[in-house]
Amino acid sequence: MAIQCLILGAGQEVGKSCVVAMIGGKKIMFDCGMHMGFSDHRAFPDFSLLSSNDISCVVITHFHLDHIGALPYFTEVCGYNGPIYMTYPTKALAPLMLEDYRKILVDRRGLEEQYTYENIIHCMNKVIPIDIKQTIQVDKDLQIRAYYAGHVLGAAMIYAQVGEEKMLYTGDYNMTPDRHLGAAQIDRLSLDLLITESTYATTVRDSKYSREREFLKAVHTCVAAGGKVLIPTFALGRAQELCILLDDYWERMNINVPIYFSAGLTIQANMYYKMLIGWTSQKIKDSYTVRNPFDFKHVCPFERSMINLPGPCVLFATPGMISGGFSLEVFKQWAPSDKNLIAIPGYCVAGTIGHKLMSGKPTRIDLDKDTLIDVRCQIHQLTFSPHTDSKGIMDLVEFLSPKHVILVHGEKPKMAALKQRIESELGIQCEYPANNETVLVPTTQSLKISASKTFVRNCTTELDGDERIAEGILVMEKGHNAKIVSEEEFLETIGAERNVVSFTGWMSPLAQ
Amino acid sequence: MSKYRDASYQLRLLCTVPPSRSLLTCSASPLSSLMEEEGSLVQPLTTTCNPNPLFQFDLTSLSSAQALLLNPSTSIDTIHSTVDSLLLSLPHLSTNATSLSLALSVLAQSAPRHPSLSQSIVSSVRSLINGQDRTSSAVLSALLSIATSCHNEDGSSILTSILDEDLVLSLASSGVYKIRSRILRLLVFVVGRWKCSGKFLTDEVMVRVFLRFTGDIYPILRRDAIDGLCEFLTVARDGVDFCVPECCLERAIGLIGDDDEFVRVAAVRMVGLCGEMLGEKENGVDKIGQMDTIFTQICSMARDMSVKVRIEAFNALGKVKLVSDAVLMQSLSKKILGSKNGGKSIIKLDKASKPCAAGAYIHGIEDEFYVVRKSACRSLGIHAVMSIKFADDSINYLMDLMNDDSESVRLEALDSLFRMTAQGCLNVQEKHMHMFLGLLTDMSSLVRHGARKILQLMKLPKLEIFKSTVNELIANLEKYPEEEEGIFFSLFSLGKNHREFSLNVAKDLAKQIKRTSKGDLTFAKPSMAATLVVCIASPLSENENVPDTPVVLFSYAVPLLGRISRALQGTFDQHFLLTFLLDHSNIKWKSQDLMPEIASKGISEDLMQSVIKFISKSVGDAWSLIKGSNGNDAEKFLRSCMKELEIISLNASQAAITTLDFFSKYIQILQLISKIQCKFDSRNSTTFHIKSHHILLEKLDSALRKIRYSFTGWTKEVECHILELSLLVDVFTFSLARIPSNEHLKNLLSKISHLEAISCLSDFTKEIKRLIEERSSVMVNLHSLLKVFECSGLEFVREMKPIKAELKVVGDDSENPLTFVPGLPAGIRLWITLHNTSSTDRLWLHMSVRGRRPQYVFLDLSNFEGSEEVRKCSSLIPFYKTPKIASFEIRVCIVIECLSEHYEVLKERDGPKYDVTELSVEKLVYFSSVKSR
Repeated sequence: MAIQCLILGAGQEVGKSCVVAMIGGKKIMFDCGMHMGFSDHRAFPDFSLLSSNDISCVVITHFHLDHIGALPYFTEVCGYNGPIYMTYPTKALAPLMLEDYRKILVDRRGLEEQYTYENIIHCMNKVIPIDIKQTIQVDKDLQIRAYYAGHVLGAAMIYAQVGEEKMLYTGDYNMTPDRHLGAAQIDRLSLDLLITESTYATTVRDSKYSREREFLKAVHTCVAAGGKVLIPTFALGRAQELCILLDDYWERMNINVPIYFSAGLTIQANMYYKMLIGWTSQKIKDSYTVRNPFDFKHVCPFERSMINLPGPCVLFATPGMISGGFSLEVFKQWAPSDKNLIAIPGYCVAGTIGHKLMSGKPTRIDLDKDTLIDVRCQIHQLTFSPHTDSKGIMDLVEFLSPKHVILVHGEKPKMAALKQRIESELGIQCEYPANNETVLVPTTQSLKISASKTFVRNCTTELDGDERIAEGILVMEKGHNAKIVSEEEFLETIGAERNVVSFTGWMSPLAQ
Repeated sequence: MSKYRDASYQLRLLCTVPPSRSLLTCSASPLSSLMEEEGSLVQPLTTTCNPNPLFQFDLTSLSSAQALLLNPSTSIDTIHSTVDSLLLSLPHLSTNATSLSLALSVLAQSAPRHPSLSQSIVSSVRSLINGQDRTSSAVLSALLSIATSCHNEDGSSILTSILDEDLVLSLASSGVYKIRSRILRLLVFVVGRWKCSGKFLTDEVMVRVFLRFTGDIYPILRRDAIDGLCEFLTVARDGVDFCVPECCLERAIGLIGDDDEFVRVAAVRMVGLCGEMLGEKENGVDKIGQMDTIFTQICSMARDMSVKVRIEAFNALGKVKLVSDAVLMQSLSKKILGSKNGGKSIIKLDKASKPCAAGAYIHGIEDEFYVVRKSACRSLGIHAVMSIKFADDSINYLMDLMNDDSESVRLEALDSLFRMTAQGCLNVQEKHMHMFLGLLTDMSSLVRHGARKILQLMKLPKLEIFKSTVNELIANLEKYPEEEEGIFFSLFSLGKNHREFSLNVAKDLAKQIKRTSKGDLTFAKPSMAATLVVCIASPLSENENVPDTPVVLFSYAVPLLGRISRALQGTFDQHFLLTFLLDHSNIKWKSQDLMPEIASKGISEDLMQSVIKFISKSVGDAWSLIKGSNGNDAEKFLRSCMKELEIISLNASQAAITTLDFFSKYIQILQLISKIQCKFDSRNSTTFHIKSHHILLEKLDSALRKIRYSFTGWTKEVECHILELSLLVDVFTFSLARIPSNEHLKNLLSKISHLEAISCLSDFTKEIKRLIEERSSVMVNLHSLLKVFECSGLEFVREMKPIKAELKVVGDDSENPLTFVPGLPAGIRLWITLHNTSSTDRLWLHMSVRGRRPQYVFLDLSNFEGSEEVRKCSSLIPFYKTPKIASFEIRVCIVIECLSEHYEVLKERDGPKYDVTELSVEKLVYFSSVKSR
């Protein structure tokens, strides 16, 4: 028996996560994402490699576009009709993300849309929401269960089981809690296969406290000197985490500088956070009894006209990575002043302005052939990341101790290094296939064996010191179930008698 | 009670059913029926019945037996008979396991209520223990509940009496889960009381049994077995051979990877315990190596998915001592540390163990659950105290934890830092100070307190840091003035610990004082007081730096005596402090000015007197400021005097309070005079606001009236002084009026003649008299008049008694107002207490409703009971003019008529003829109309 894994996306790259696993004859699609770096056919996984009717179910781990972006295309255009599972927050937030992206694609970049608004709505209507640790019986044989993954609101790791074959697809996860989300949590499962992300396959991050301290210090010094701080983030996740951090700090240090959220998606996202408080960290849940921690005290909405107002402020603007939209607009205005600060939290995809800023400080950026931006502002790079680091991956692999590991969602050379470590330190077989490759993972099969009464009795009575050793004979006959019997019974069945051969040795004392 | 009665009544009813058949012969007969006449009818059961397989208990009779046994009013005889019947029937029940276990549970329940029966119950059930599986498990559970319900050692001695090694071993190896679990629980119970009872198992066998159970298939038994071992190790701590903890350790390490959460928790706890014990024992093994292994093993559990395991793991980490630096350092770094920096001194660790320890503490302090973070923080602190290298690194994390969102974690981190400071292994760096000093303005007072506690012991490396710390403490003081005591003490300790730095600060301060003109420095500013505390700390505590510390600082510290000595309570006696400051200041004083020897704690009467004397002197000094037209300085000076008085009066005796009260009233007068004088000065140059002068003069006048009529028992000197003051007021009024009325003049003259009468004519009075006689303008000579005014009488302020009154309104508060019918008089029941009033005093009750004319009621002192010192009276006072509104409030207070005021003003038709001054605090009386109720 084996689990067959087809990597449709995120193989040796970050983007368009999509893995189709055939376990016990059932095909499950984990995630159905798109690649943000491409706008042609490469943006979506190559669905032509499978027939959509073979798939038993689609499970989405979280609402990031590189995990869900291709779902409406798959269901509405490719015609997949089976069940789709995702957690409640993902179901709530996914349509916002999808629609937002579709708008940007069509309205701003003037590209052809791959699916319409109606497609999104129609697709989301098919979704079956699941809860953490809720076991879903997809069909007679296939069970799936979601575990808390941290990362973003509603992120889940998906456990799937058919018969004796078990596997876990982690999606993106975080092993260290942050200010608003908890750490990933999982039970001890004896897995045949673990498919884990490996964004930070070789990075070991130091304590988050020092990162927080540096960030706060940078922001505080900037606003104290009258500068403006731009924090380009995606609407969900980092924005809330950093905001909690800043709001707390503002409160404690009694600072009166306004913190702005660029209107629209972020405000709406905060509303969802307020509602989905059960999916946040323990601390937020505890303090919820007193007040909703997402009702920020120092935060107010931002108007476009306020960009050039004098005086210090902190602004959270979408999208992250300064890949366009409002954050780019603000960046153009603020970058030329050396008083201002751009704080870039987390990972930036190559090709975005964020990436350029992070990889060495440029003095000017050519936006297009007509637009040049002078960059004189300070740049603070934050290593806040909702992904686990290599220590976290190793810890999870060690905790679960599966028989096989497949790495996805990472960069090839780093994945190779991690594979090396997993194989040498933990002795677990590990692979990191490229896109559209198929991996066969052998699984062990267990067999039910019945035991005879005499054997069981012998087991409980024949005790040998601290060890319990029971001796028996395994009988496997064609057409019958395997059975374990005691020696006497066996002799009886085959009608043989017990013969004892004893040897007597003699040794001469002189034979030394 | 009634419930209980019902129950016993029902029982009686049950008991009244006539006996028909023997208990066991028929299943239908209720046991209770046998108990009608308690005791006599209960037959020994075996005598009446054969061991017939047919007979059995039915549930009804069992429950009746239970009711009888549990009912507190059942007689002893009945209980004995019931128990005997049950016991006798037990062997016959052995075939019916259900009935047997029920009967046993009834017996077990009754045992704690009747301890005398326990032994007999236990010995009779002993024989059943080897029976069927279900029987023996029922017996064991009965034994367990009997044993646990017994007091003290009885429980285990009962068990000791019936258990022996063979029995225990055979039960422990039973194939039935229930039997195993119960014998295990019995053993765990016994081992907890191992020392105080006889042993039926040797230590070795006991440990072996437990060890065997740790491999049981049921997780709950594994957990219980580990708990038992832990119990054994704790109880027999010193008595055990070191191979026992070693053996336990080995087994526990094997179990920390268990699938069951609770087993892991118990296993981790045991690893910690064994580590602790092995660390204490001398056993010739390479101890550091062993401890390292244990430490890393526990570290590997720091990443467990269960919160409970993680908490236990960090608790256990704190117990393991003697860990090598290399491993400790590894636990602070997620990256695997190379051995390049250690050389030979680093013990070689086996390859697997090092990654386990990696970053354990980092994970701990980053944990999602604050309980884990707290526990990690505590154990981090424990290790930091023991290893300097580790301390240097861990301080980074402990300081970072000051940014934690949970207050209890911050407090725990502060606690760890405090312990490190106390042990002298806190090596603060500049980068930490920003975060740390931020704590002094934290929102939580506990955090602020914790931070100050650390500062008291901290050794600061640089002058800049020292200065910024002092500034931050001052910021703390400005933001939270209520914490002055603690802040002053921290400043004092800080100054004491950093002699050089504080000397530096002292010199700066002295320069600053020199630069500013005399009297410009404000004591009211908290920062000044705080800096002075830092400066005098090291000379005061060790008599060092005394010659170097500028003298002026000591004299500036004298007026702050009250505040400083409160902060240093328990360290320095206030008297010592005062003597010290005066000795080193440039204030001239004689030691007999202050009382000679005082050793009593707190502020003694003598000390109080000397303080008062000192204050009266300072007040005298204020006059010179007023005369010198230094109005602003005088005002600041008086304000700080006022503050001092407030602080001193907190500790003062009743007699001293009167004097202090006098002084505070006196200072108020001085403040007003100083203000008026300022106005008069400015009047010469600018336009003059006659209205504001009149207001001030009016205030001054009423303040003087108050001081004159609030005290009795004046000395001549004081009386003269007060009269002179009122003369001064008249002079002010006189000069303000430009064309003084005859009324004023008459008033002035009468006062002068009064002064003449008591033969107390000062230069000031004489001068006024001369001026009036010469008919020259007082105004012109105001300055010269002021110059001759002397303040001398205050030294004689002694033996004064306060004239005061207390008012209590009966049955009224804002929640439950009195009722009234609008337009009709309403009565107010009042309790009045008067102190030190003479029979010639005219007292009135002043009642007023906002915006209306007040109503006065004369208080006839003859209606009061008691002597001059205290008079008491309760009376119903009518209030006539109730307004026609739904509710209102009346302000009530007692006033005294100032009879010696020489001009008569008709204030009210039915009220006092002279000016009045208040004797009591104003009370509010609430009324609501009957209709609105």
